Amino acid sequence: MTVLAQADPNVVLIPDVAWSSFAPELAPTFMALVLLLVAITRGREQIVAAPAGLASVAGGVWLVTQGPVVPGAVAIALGVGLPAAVFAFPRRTSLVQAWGAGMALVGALVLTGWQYVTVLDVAGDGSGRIVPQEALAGALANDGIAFFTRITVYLTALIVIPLGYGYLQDRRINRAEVEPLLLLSVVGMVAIATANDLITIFVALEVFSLALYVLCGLARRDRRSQESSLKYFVMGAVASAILLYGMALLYVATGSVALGDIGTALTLVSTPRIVAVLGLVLVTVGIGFKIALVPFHLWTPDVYQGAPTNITAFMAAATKAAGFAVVLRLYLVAFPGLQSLWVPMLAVLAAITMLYGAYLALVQRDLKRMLAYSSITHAGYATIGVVSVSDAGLSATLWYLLTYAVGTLGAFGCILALERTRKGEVGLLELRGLGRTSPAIAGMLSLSLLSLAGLPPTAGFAGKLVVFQAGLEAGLTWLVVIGVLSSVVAAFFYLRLAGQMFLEEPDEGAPVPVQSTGLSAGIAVSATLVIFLGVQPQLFLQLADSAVALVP
Amino acid sequence: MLSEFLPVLLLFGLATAFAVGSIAVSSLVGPRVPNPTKLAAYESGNEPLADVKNTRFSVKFYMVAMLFLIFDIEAVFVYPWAVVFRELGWFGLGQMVAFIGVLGVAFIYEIGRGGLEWD
Repeated sequence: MTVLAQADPNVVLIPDVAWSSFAPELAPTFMALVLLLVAITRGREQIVAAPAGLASVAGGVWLVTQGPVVPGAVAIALGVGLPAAVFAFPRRTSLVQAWGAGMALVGALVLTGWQYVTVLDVAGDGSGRIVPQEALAGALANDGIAFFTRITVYLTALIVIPLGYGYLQDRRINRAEVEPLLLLSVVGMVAIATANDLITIFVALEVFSLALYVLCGLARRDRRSQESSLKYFVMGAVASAILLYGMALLYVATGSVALGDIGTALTLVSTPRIVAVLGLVLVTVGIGFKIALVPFHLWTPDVYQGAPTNITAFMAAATKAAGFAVVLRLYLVAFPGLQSLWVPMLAVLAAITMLYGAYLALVQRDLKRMLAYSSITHAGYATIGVVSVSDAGLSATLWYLLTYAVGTLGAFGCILALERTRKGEVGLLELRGLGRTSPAIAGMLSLSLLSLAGLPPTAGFAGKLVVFQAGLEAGLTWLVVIGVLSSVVAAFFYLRLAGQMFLEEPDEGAPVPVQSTGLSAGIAVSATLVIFLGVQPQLFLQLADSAVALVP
Repeated sequence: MLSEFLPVLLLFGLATAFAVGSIAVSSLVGPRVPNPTKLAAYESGNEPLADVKNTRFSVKFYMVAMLFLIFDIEAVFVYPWAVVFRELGWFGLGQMVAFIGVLGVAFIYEIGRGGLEWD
């Protein structure tokens, strides 16, 4: 911060805005605003796209002349890309929007890479860790958690857009608001992963939650979708209120909203311990709701089942990554002083979550519901990394969330392919013999399910291995044993499903998957990532290890 | 730290006591002379149109209320900015333009979607 004219008592502090610290988020934010305007042009998208593109190109050229070449190039590319998309697909607003959103997300990924190279320089001390950076007067922490969560969330959204395009069209819910809302929720998720004080955390949480509430109710004529949206909204609002109450108590106890200051204050004797503990418990409940830990998971199956399937895929993969990013930062930066309390608490929650989720996944008849319970179980596995309270645990959690994201995206992608020919859900029994009728989809689905079960050589195996290792190193043997048990239960179930698909004969009237370019591309990319992360985990594991760098 | 909030607690207690007290005292002491006009629902001096419980009103009122809230909040932010407008200089102007720009996009979108058309 620069202080101007210190002698004057009426000075106003003008903060230095470190634009580079949130450069990747600017691309999707601006694209969301422009796409919102494109939505109301009624077929003459160029009215909005051309001026917006021109402004973006001008800004990009200015940036390039000023120094930062990569952000300038991204701005120019987006400024050219959107009008080009409008030109290429005249009068097809939803296609233009899908392309625009995709381009913005690619731009965000490029900027994340640029940030990694230039801003978050790898430290020179040989540890290979990135140097965390504080920004906006301490409101943002641009550290490893933020960096890795950016990769996961942007990648997830980028895969979800082509996956869902045809599906939304078939259900006639390809509204013009889908892509802007998706982009805004992505921005909220990344913002919560960078947030370094309680207020920013709460605002970011609301930004992405509000967008998701609307997206869940996208099929507003469908009763299940209505139920999903309303349930998520009501339960989410209650959870937000509890979280806010916890934050208020933490502020009362420590006198600060900055996570670092809270962390320092909680180690002092003068801090009222009971108030702080109450705050910790309430915050755990509020966040536990978002990441769906048992017993705060009750909304998950209904919401996941009712929401449009591409939105479910996005929620399952990206919300979990964002939620765990904030869990990691909160507990490792703000609550080390209360470690003796929250480590057993979260460990028990993780154990219940893994067992209960695996058990309920067993008895489901509907594919989407089953994956909802599987997502609950996976929240339990990821929590093992958090309660390890170590560098290894931190990087393991981040890495696990990426492997889970690609696996679940692949699985939901296959459901999308199956659902497109019919209105309703796909039951598990209807998958019998799918391997005979459409081996490609059945193969991809089996691969994704194996990854979710954690069998080699898939991404899920690499993820579970690292998380369990971190848990063992931290001496949490009992928790790891429970984790292995629950994976065995899940593996049995997923394998039986795969067997059903390939060994049994198809029934009459079984769903025939529809394939379109976007859907095939999305599924293929996730399946490739499942294999790639399983066979060659070194690259991303190294990134996750380098991400072990927190703003103090 | 906690003791700093004692006045807040006191105020809270006083407010609760006052609210409960006034209702209790007026129901205990106040005279009761009901007639049909007094028992009718109060509707700004108009004749009540319908039973209050079953009255449905258009969702458009909700839209207007939301719009009002948005611009109300905007005013809350613009006021303190206007006070220190000179000291903040170009930086402050840029921030405010960005803030109003985002709200403006939402507003244009709402008009474009027909959110302000009453019929």
